[in-house]
Amino acid sequence: MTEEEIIKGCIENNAQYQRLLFDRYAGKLFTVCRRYAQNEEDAKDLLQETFTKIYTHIKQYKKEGSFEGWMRRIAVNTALKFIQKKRIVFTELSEKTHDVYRISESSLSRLKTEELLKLIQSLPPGYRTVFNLNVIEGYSHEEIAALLHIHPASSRSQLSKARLWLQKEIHKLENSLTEYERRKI
Amino acid sequence: MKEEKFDNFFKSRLSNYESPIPDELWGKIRPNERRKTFLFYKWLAAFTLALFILGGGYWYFLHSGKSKINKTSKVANRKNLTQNDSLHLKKSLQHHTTTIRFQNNSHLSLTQKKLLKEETTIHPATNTFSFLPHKAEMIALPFSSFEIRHITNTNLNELLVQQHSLLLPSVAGKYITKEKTFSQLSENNSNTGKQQQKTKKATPFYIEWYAAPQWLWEETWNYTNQSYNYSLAANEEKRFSLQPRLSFATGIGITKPFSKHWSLKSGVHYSQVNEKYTYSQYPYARTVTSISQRDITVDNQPVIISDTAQYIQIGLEQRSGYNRYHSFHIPLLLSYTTEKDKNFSFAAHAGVMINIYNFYSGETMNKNAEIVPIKSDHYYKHHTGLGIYVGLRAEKKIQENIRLFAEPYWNAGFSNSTTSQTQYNRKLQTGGVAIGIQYKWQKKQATPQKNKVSNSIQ
Repeated sequence: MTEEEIIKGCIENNAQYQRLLFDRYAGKLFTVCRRYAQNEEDAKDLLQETFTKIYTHIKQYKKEGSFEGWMRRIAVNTALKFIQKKRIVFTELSEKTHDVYRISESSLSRLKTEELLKLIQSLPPGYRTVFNLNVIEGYSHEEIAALLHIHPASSRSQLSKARLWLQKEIHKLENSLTEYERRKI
Repeated sequence: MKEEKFDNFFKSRLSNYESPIPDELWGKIRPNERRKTFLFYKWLAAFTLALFILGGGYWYFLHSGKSKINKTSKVANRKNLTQNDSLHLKKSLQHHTTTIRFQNNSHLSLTQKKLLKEETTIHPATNTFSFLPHKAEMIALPFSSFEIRHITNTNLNELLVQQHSLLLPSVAGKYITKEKTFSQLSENNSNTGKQQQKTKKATPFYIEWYAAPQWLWEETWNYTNQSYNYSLAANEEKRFSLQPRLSFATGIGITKPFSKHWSLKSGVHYSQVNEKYTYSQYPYARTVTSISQRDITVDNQPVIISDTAQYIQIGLEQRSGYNRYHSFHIPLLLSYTTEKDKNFSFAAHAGVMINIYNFYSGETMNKNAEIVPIKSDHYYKHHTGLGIYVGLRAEKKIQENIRLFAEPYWNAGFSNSTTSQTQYNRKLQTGGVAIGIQYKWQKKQATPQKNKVSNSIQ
């Protein structure tokens, strides 16, 4: 079944095609939702809302750019709205964490994707949002500032702290893993 | 590791990663099936409404068309009279002259007009004709296809007859078969006239619109999980609190009286209940930097010294928002009203509210003490069945057919609004004051046309 056929079926409100669309893209879109949400429950709600919007507005897809990209944008916008509704405050946490953690490539590659997702979910909301928008979605700081109604400098600062936070957490994981392996030997 | 490499690592691993989808997720989305369910209830609501309108309409026409039904019985009476009771008719009318007023004689045949001319005395000034009692049968029979509509009784036992309506046989038959004298008939005619005027006047409908500020009145709370640690639950309760906020309701109603004081009321009632929720979750830490400056003098020179201190604040993250509970009901109420025609009247309503559909937004605490969105029917029900409604109303007439009213009311569902997945069971009850306007709608009757007949009769 081609993508175009699925889109056409969804425009006609055909349940079979809607299910096909869900089966084909829900996994990727759920990853997007999980990256922005603080917990799994919120992520499920975001995905539900994302698909509802996709089914409702699928007629508006102009075939400019990829369909998956269009759906991803819906997921990201839904997540951002959700965040704004929750009135996330972009806090300046832990000024002390200016330490640099040395993370080796090998230790990074040992991390499973699910663990990475958990790490991202553990980030404070402001850090998480900026990190996702900049690093994964590729938005510039100016664009992020406009989306989140913050100053570009604040976006930069949040991103830098998000990185430090992640590095620190990965470092911790690495240490605990090394300790575990050492004991095992 | 350089920032760019670090970022790219995350991007490459997460961009196309497909998370495993929980089984129940499609069940929550299912757009078509959900639409079908919604459509089903939409149609159910429309069907119920249509049923009420049709039922009410049928009832209305059944009652407003009382004279039409009477017509059948009168025709039957007339047949009896023409065949069996004509002598009684003669006897009853023998000492009186009966005057009949026509509104319009255009429907009369030439023979009938001729008969009227020959056997009666025409009074053009009053649009009436009178005849002697012994002519009654003769006069009555040719006009027996008409039906009496209005009967007024003056000193002369005047019978008022509208177009397509006559005459003596039915009235006479009605009383003669009861063996009443004409004097009684005259007396009764007066009363019958009043009664008939009353029954002939179609019973009105009252259509109303209202809006009401309302308040979440009272709630029934108990724990869904009976084995739950109550002291822990008490802590959770502190962690998640709800405060009622001003809410509102609006609706349209239709009232159909079925006696002088009693009536039935229905319509569509929409209610929105608002609550503010506040909760705290996740240990939350932040570092606060405090910079203080002092001016000191060193070697007679002013020097500014800055001290920087840092401390970590640990607490709970506070969140708040609004829960909104929307519901649609169809009320079925019995109403008792004092004199409706007066300037002020009072009414009491009581009955059931049939819940058609509910939808929600906001957050709640589930049975595992997690804060979750309540928009799905997983935690709050879309249908709660029946509820009770009680209201007291004061009405003020502002125009002939328009009345303003204020109605304090109380409304409560019989069943819980929550499912077993929430921390508590809740029955939502609301109280408020409905302010509205009521319009009296009544089928218009043809007004009598005077001064038209006599000349043509002559």
